[in-house]
Amino acid sequence: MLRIDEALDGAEAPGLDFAALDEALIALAKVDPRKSRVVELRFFGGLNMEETAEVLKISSDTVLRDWKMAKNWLRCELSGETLDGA
Amino acid sequence: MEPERWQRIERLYDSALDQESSVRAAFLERACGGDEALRRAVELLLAQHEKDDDFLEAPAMEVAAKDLARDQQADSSGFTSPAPSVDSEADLIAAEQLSFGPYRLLQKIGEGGMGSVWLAEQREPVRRRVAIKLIKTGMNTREVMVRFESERQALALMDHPAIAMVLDAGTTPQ
Repeated sequence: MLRIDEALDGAEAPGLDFAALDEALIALAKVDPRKSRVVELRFFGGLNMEETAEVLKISSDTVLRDWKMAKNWLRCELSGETLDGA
Repeated sequence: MEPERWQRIERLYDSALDQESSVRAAFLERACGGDEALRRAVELLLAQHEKDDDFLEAPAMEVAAKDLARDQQADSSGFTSPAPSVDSEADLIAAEQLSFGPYRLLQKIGEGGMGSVWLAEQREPVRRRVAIKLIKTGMNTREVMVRFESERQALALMDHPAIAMVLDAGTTPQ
């Protein structure tokens, strides 16, 4: 049996902490501005790989690599495993 | 972190991925030459690489729209109060004071060192729910404003119903 407050806890679990993501992106922009832009355009702008490549004047392969690496970085930052000081 | 340091981490990450996973640890041990922090950073990134989830794969506004839809569903089911959800007395005071212009803050949906993101209700000229990003006093530096501008530009690039419009921008007395 699930207590009602437990049920609500589950229902209200935030999918994504936008404010924390915003801050992690600012940190990323300081060490790797292009990767930060890729995330802005793809995630906030809703652009696909090709459109992002066109806006940034880089190849789709580079967008894909940047995207994967930026997500690795952001996941570390958002889980509190900061790479800074490394 | 210095950009040069980050580039070194990236190169090591790429090289490590080229190795068979069985010899990866030994490779990093050798390549990092006793720089434990460097090795740890590369290992943290490699650990993320193994994860195959859908992190950030859906555009921001789809994620936000789902969150809002779920909140509204919770409201109509009567389980949650439509009153502002506030974490502390200080937040309550802030929420009361931060009813500004046509907007009234309903619920905090995110918070960080820079400020917070709120679900809000706009009354004029149409009644609708909007998201408001509040930046703390002292944080409205040039850097923050530049970021707003770049987000606004990124959003303006696309004309799609799932993508947010930047409706308004301004400052409050606080």
